[in-house]
Amino acid sequence: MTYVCRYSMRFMRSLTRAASLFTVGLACVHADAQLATTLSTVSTQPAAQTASQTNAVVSTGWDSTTTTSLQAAGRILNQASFGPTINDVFAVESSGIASYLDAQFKQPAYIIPAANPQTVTTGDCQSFSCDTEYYWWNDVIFGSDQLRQRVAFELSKLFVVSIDTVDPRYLPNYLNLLSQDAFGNWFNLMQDVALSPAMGTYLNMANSTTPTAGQSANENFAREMMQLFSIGVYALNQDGSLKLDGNGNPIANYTSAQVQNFALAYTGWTFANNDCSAPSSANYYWYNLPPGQSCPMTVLPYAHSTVSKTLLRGTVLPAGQSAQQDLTGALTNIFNDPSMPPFVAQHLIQSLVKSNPSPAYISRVAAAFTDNGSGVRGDMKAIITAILMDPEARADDNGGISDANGGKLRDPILWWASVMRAMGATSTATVPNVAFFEQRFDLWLADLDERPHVTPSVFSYYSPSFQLQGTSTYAPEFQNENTLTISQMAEHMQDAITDNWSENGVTATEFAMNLTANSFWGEAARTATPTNLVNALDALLLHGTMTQGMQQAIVTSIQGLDPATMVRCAVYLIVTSPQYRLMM
Amino acid sequence: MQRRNFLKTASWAGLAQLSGISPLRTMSALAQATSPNDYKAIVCLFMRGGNDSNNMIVPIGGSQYSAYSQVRGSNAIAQNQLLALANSSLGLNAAFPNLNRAYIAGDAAFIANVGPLVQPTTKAQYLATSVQIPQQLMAHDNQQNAWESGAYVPGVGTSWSGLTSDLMAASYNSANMPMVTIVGNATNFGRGVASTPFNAGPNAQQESFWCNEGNACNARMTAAQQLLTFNNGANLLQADQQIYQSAYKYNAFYNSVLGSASGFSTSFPSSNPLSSALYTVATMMQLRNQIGARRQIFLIDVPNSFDTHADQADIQPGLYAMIDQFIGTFVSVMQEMGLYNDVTLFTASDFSRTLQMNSAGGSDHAWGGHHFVVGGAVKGGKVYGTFPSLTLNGADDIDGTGRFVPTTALSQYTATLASWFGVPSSQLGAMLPGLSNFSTANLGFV
Repeated sequence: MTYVCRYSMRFMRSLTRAASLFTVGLACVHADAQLATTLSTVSTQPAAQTASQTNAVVSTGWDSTTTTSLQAAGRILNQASFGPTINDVFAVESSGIASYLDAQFKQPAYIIPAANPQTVTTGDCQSFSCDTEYYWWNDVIFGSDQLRQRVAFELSKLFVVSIDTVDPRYLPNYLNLLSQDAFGNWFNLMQDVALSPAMGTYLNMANSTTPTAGQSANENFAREMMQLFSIGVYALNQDGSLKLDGNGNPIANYTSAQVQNFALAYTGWTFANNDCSAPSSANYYWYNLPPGQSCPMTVLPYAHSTVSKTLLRGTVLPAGQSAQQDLTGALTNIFNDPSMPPFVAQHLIQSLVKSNPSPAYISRVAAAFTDNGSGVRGDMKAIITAILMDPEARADDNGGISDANGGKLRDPILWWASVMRAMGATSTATVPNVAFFEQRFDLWLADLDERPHVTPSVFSYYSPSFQLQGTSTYAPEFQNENTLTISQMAEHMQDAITDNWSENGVTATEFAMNLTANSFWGEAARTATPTNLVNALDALLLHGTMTQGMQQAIVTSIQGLDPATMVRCAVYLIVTSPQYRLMM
Repeated sequence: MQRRNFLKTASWAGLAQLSGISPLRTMSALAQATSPNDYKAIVCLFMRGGNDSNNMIVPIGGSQYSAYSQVRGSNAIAQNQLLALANSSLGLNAAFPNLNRAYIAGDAAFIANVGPLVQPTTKAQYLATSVQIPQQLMAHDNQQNAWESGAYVPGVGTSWSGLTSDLMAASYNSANMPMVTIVGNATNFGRGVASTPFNAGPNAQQESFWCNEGNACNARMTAAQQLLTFNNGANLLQADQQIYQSAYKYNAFYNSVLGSASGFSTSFPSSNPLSSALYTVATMMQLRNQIGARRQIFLIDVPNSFDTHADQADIQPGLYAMIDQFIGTFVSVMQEMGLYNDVTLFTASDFSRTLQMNSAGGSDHAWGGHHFVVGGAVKGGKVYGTFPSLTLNGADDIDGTGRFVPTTALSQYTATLASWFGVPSSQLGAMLPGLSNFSTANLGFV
């Protein structure tokens, strides 16, 4: 059956009329072939993508080298990008998952330009964050470094800074270091984060000075670096379970005294000068011109505490070390802690793949953190590969639900980006008139409790340990899933799909999803049956997992509508459904 | 949101029908509400980040003030900025004139040095770990969870408010709306074994599954709700579908009653970040009969961070001014509705902060902290509990930085509120782990 359907695929790609394709597609009962049928029609329609991109996809075709089903391709793109596009699904189907990841690892990081340090108003922008939000969203939705940016996004929810307290002019530097380090080594990531002016401001390491008598050093960064960013409160086994003492109690990873010792180790750093050189006395933040906007913080020798510090596992930093030596020593001490590999593994698996990984899965990824196979600890490519290529991550690639606790809820930003990418959005916004992204995307996502780059606190938008009520099932993103956010979610998607991005009665035209009567989907609605339209949307949005009941409910509701309305209603129903909000 | 209120109104009727809320049920809620009854509400004001309450109530003189001012350095509140609290040796930070007025009127009380405890604990017992110590002290999220739960247990789970709803909602509340409403963010609050909270937006705004597809809307709304019934075997899907169903049901009902709200003559200062949440809470109290609620519990989540690790002297006055103005508005609107004697407000926060100033002009995470309650039912004008010794390395300080072992357990504080609300004393132990380890479950402040 599979062979017949693949043959049909090749045949179908030679056709141009969507109606014919849908008709042929109906003969194919194999789920994968059905996806191929419905998606292939899209690739013949340049409306959704550029003609050259489409031709490239079509020309690669479905040939004997294909190792990956379209269903599997759609699924990995949920885990390894900000969501599948039509072209990406075909590209992964053609290349296979491993090759796709290889190619993504070679993609250089998109670099967000530095914010104008002195002018809030550029074009229609009225804030220091507006341009940055545009650059960021533009890459999230249209950029080619998808895996890198997705990992960086998940890292931003671990190494949290928030521009409600950090000057937004420090944000480009921070986002860039996360995406540049996303495929590097975890230790470098820790160090770059620690020395960033954004984190320096957020958790007060900037200008933290050696305490005088009767004072202690500011513990903000020292505590959260361990608790939230690296190892957690309690010691972990490699499989993520709690280590227990002889009485069955968890073992604290650190004491208050150790937190204070780390705080002392982190003293003696200040903002760099604007040319990144080190000032001879402290640079203080000031609004008119934040110092060292794009530079790591620099050492202020006299502000560093030179006493000896006792760290984790009995490690002592000897007295008299420099600020850099102490920083390196402190971060190395944390980096080598046995709790770190499972802590990081659990966070990244929960972020990319599933909320409830098995202990064995965590253990395998933690092992990759510990040693990439060449004796290197903290190799991000090895960690990411271990997460995405694990049998548990790939288990349901061809359908089915092997784990009743599988999958995860897309957090609102990922959900929003995935819809925009899937529905072939286009943007005509150009600098300096880019306020659309902050005023629509960001403020609407704030109603869903996830405004990009504005977290309510250092412990991010939601807790990795949040559980479904009355169960031990982890469901981090559900912390913000409630009666209010769900109605806001539906309302804002309606704003985007039906109401032309209306906000306070003002519509916007610089950004659009491709849902008109003349779009591919509109063409499908005009020439095919509602069932075919819904099947095609299922293929792209749900990688073919839509149940028959769901399909029938949607088809029934859209029958008889004009093509554009039919498309809008079908898309709205799917993307606001719990079935789509979850990533299985 | 304001742009489409009229149009939204037009779609509510359809939504209410789709959600299974029949006129009959609304009628029964009204009938229940018009029968003679008592009404009580509790409002939790949650100061996220850890309020440095060392600067809220302060020894007004003597060696305790000297100890305080010496350790706090430039973060100390000057003696002439303290308002003497009758029946105590303490002064209230002058940033709280409204709270002070309520205290003088006997409608506000302070509870000194409250924090999570498993059992009565001394500094020596803490240092020797000879008694069970609450887990994950000084960690923001876990301690917020503990405070939301009402006892010492960190992490995600049930809360006293949700368990109270489990016990009492069937007798005191119609099925139209949950007993517990959250304005802002929360983790455990309102979660019982069976109960879930309602999440309300600011300014008593209507929330709906708005549709602007003309004639296609009815079919779209029908299908959207049908999708909440198709199960593929994934637990997360079922859980999400349940939340969606609650969202449809409760928002439709909420929207249907908001039209009956008559507003307030009390002014809600628009510059205060808490006004919009208080407006929602007050409106839901005003609509208690339409909602069919004889018991309501609210959580107002203060959006500003109290995590003052640095520059506290610059930040804290603004936070306290905001809180105090909120208290003034709260008292005024409760009095306006004639509900002042029926509503009790209490404060919660992750923890207090080190008495000792750090080198950044701030203070770090600590343990026990001072709290206050406000309302006509409060037996106020008094400071309850035991104020700690402020001497570094003194009787209560665990590590020489001014982190105090609580002298009153969070579970006792919660139990006192829950008892007033009507939770039978026989149920308190199951609701509040560790409570039975303390000699009294009722501190008597309300």
